[in-house]
Amino acid sequence: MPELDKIIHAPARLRIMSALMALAASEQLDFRTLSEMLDLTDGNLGAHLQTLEEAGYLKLEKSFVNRKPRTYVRATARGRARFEEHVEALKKICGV
Amino acid sequence: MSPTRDEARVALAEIDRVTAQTRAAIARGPSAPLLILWGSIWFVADLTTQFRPEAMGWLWWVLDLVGAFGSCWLVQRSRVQVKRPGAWRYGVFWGAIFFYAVLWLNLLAPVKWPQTPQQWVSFEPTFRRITAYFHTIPMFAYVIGGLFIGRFLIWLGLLVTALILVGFCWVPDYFYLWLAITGGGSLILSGVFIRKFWR
Repeated sequence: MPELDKIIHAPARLRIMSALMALAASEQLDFRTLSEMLDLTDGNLGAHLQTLEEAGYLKLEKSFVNRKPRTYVRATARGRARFEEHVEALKKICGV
Repeated sequence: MSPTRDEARVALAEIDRVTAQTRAAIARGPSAPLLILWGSIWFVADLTTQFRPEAMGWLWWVLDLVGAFGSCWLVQRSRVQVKRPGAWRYGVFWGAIFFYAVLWLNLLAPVKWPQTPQQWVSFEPTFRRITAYFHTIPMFAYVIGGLFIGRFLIWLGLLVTALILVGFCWVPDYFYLWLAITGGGSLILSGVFIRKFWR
């Protein structure tokens, strides 16, 4: 039976995971794009990403592009599975 | 505490909204400036072919190089940054397809560029077929790309292909002018449309 995930259920983290789920499993979204799309401040987004990373739901990768630091974010297989289960649980509550 | 049915419904709607917004942002990415760039290249090249055909032997090569380097630059500076493993392969793929098409065209039937207006008159029907064919290749790519990115590209690819065929069959005397306006113009307008309305 699908269960709600308390970590994902927080509104900002739900939106972060939703955005990452729109990508293919091997694709990564950069931090700036994510913060602009979700309208979150860098500090707020950083804190939520850390929570999700500690849970093993996403992976952060830091690299340099044109000598400028850039952080890329990708949902892990575990994060994807937990998100899908969370969505199923929500649908069950709605009776869909 | 478990969410109520209304809260769950709101959460599901938010998931759908953010997912759709992300897909649109990724699809939009560098699409608008790329369409405007290639639309402008078509426009200049086809217009030149119509009125100064003797210049086209070398100008197509220059414009294609501008397009290739310009595309790389636009993708690099795109605001929506998605890292795809092996993304460089797309560029290599299209470069190889183009190279293959030009190579075999020249191996099977070497194109000797006309030097005089009289030579151009006899060469033009062949060049018109080649031009029409080469213009449909990227449009076919739009249709295929549209299957993965969004219906807009499918319709754009089909529309421009249809316009190319209409011009080829019914406007032979002004075919390149037709291509410049309908083909190049459609790409430029599509880029402007995406920039303005895909938010």
